[in-house]
Amino acid sequence: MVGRVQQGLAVLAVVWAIIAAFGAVRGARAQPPDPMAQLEAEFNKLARDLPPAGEVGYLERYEDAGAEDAVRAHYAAQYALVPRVVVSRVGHEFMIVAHGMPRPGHDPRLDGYFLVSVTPEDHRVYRRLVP
Amino acid sequence: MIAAAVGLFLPIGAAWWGLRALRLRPATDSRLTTAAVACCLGIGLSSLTTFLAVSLHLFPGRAFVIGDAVLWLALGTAGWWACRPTSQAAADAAPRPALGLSDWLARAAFAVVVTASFSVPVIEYLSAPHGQWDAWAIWNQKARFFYRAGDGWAAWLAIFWAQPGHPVLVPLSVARLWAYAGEELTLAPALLSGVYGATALAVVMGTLNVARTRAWVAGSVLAAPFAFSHLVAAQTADLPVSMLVVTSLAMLRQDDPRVWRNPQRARSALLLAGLLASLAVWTKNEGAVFLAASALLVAWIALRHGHGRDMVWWVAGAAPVLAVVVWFKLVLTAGASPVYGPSTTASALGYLVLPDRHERIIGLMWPLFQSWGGPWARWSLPVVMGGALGLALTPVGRSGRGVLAVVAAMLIGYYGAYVVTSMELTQLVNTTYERLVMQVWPALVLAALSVGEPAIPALPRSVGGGD
Repeated sequence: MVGRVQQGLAVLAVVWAIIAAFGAVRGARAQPPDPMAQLEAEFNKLARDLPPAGEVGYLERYEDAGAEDAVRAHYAAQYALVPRVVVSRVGHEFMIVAHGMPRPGHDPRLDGYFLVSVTPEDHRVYRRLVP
Repeated sequence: MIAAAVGLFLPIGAAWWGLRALRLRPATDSRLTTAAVACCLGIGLSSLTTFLAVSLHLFPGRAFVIGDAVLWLALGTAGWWACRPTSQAAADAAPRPALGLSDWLARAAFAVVVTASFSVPVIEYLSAPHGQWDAWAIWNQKARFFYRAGDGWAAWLAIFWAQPGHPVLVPLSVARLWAYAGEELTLAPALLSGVYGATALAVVMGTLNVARTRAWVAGSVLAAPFAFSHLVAAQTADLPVSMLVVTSLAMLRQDDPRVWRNPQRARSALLLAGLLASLAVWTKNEGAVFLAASALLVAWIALRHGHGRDMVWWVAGAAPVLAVVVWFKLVLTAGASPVYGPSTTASALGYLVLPDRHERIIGLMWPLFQSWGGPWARWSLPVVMGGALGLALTPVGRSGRGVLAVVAAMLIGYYGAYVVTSMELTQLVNTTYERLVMQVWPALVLAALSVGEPAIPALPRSVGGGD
């Protein structure tokens, strides 16, 4: 009796496992495309205009800076530009200004900085002269 | 990629031969379990030697790769040489019992489940080669610091979202394989993640004895949920924690009393359990919760069998790696602020006695508890938990009780962390619950399928034996 109950439970578990495994394949195929590889490639283009190590600034988006896409862009810049440390602070000699981050028209946070380079995706490196 | 694969399997092979040469055997002895232990030790110990090389400014140059390869080759060769005289005995294995139709069906179902399950990380790798959010924001990013900056790795202490206080088994393992490959291959962390998943699967099945159908059922149940295969694709540190947790617990299994009456076997099981538990601490902070919980289990086992002094072997296994972790936490990353910790002790105590907070956390966890596992695996967690608990209360489920007690202690610890944290709860629970449960999922499946059965005398040296 106990053996039959165990066998019955085993059959149920295996049938469930097969269904769940195919559900997992379906779930994987339904995953949204991941933009990280593309973002990384885009930010890599800035590396030649930045110092090889140390801190560089990153301009946060002028509004809704905590939104997922804004945070993802910042983290992607950090991931691409290791071993530099990309800090979201204004005042560093070098500033990374990703596409869509500065206020349209004039962004006062960039006063004193001059444009060093811009990528086709409109990611920019700014620099200011330090005494 | 071939060089990275060589770099991965050299220390695993050395660990395999080392275990055999030193006669260090798990409590549940089988080749599959030993292979799983070798994977854990090979990856874990090579991360420690890499950390030493980083600290000595020897990483990641060509000299490191040559020295590392020579080290593991020499250790593996020495181990193989030492156990050469006994290797012939393995050929004398007794024949396995004949399999019935239901046994074959269980094996066929397992093959289907594992094929489907391990196709998930392949599918996800093709669309997200850098892994999931935490992989590129934390673990692979730290690996890049080790690989690109060498001894300047500590720059990531300034990156608050990179969990600077977490130990570094995973990033060092990735950086080590990159050093072998000579480039930052995204396949290297993906390969490692696959090995973590396969090892967790192997240890559960090996511990339950692959000569028995229950092991194949357990393998199917373990691998089937999307939560498992999605985490294999993630390239994060939760899967290696779950691998080390279940492997350490497998060393402490109580299903064969003969093991614990034999002082040499008992000591080697305790030594391996301690070493594996300390590697879990070296992987992620949650490993410390496991270490504390398993210490209680070890004390109970040692006292139950009247060998209280044998606890020393568990401590001896854990101490060397824990010393490195203490140095890492208290010296190297002392300035890193805890991300999930409470703001003050007073606020933590205040949260603990606040009924509204408990109600809110349980309210957040309840839907996740039901849906854990993925779209077609809802209620898998409650059912497996209920099964493990129900079985543990019966006489045939004795061997799973210790495992279940440790899992319960870990889940209570994680719940306690939710209660006292100063972080925003909704986001924290929603983004961590699935991964935290995954850390105990293989151990839970092991406990749920730990049905006591009489030993098979005809299998002394095959997959289920070894005496």
